[in-house]
Amino acid sequence: MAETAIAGLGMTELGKVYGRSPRRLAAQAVRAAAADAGLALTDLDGLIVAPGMSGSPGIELARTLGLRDLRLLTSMNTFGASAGAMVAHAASMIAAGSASAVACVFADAPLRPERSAGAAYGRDAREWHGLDGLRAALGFRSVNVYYALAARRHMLRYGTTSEQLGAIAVSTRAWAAGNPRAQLRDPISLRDHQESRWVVEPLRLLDCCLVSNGGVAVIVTGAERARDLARPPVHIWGWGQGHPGHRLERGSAFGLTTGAAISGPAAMKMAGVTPGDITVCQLYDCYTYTVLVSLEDYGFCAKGEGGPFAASGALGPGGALPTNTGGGQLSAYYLWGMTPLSEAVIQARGDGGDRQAPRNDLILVSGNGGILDHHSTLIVGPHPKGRP
Amino acid sequence: METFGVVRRDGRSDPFFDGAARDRLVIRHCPPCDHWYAPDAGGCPECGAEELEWAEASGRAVLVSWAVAHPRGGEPAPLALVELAEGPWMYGRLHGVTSPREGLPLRARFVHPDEGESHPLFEEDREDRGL
Ligand SMILES: [Zn+2]
Repeated sequence: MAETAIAGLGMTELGKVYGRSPRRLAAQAVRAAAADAGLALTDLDGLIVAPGMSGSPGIELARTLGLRDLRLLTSMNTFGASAGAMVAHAASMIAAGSASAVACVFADAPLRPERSAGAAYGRDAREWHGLDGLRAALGFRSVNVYYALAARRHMLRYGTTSEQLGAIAVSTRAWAAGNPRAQLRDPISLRDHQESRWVVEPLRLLDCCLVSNGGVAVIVTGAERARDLARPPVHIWGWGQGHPGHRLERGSAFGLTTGAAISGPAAMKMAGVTPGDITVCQLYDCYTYTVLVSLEDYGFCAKGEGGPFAASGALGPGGALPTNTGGGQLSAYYLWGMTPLSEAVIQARGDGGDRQAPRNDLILVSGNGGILDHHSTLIVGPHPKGRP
Repeated sequence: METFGVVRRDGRSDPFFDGAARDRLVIRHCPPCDHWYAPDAGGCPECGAEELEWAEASGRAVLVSWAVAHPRGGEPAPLALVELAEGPWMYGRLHGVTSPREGLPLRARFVHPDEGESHPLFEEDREDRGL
């Protein structure tokens, strides 16, 4: 199969960016990504968009950008796994000869100046309707609750502690200090984590990601072509998806395992690598717990050992497995799967500045959607596939 | 007892609320394969049946996982994932559970608010049912 690469990365301002629709943010990100690659918009023959909380850029984005005679135009939604799924689809289409330069874009604008970050992803009403409404009336007002129930299961089963989750918050913030784009850069201690308020016990405020507005796009091309473009190619070694479909009934593994247990081995098999070959991780970190359980499912530690592994210091600056080197969704910006993907591109290019990981040879990128229901994995790096 | 938001019917789950009004937990059941589901299930992935019947469950459950929501400016809400005796898991709210633990025996009890629909909560089941 023809090899592929990420040739361009475009990012808008991120965070409290108001007054721009997802489509406008997406257009800005695609333009920036094409320029980064040294391509004109007219060089693009494919566009894939993914929706966020506040609607989709829509395939109408092609018209906004004035793209003509596209050979690939579609919207893809796998929730937080969409970024990885978009890149995999673009790479497959390019490998099949159906497209040659594909922009993949995600943009979202859930934050509004007049309301809190929590309100952007929460629910509130005076009256509720039906079973869904009953659940909300009882207190299930946001996705935080479901992740809290998942994290509790892991604590009950494996003895995982809030302090171990805190270690992930602390190491992620330590990385954010080196990222000028990060929304939160002041270092935090484990004590700060332990003293942060409960959002939904056992998750504290510092276990939960940010809410951000913005857009990120990448350009995928064939690896050969990428070599002739403006920036060093970020080679795509492998990809996978995993959707375990846990049923909520007796014996369910809900909360204890994720789709990474499926997508990880698939991506690593395609790449011809094992967990020991991965030198940097960019893991979807909507919550600290998501990182902990993903590390286990990828095989970086044994099932149930995610807590001690995180607490060992392996994930932070100077650790054995630098993880979420840009500050992730917890401390940098929350643009769903584009948060880990964008940082992977930056690290693979060696553009990390103060936060550059010392060994960037093979970077694993995860996407996670639903309540650990949907997972995507990409493995990328600066070297052509097969030559680490 | 705490008060909750007002809950109205939406025409898709009336038997559940009718049951709650009579202090009964009514959930979904698939007659062909005798598999039980939570009240919001839409079909049977076991045998492919598209229609599930509404059927009365025992109301007994055990605690699977729990979480306490701390809304700003509101009272903490003890929330749970419970395993009904019939097998399905259900999201619910705990009442008066002071020492939650995995496997804690629970039973449904019902709230009948002045306004809006009746609904279940889960409280500790202290009755010795033998084995
Ligand atoms: Zn059935």
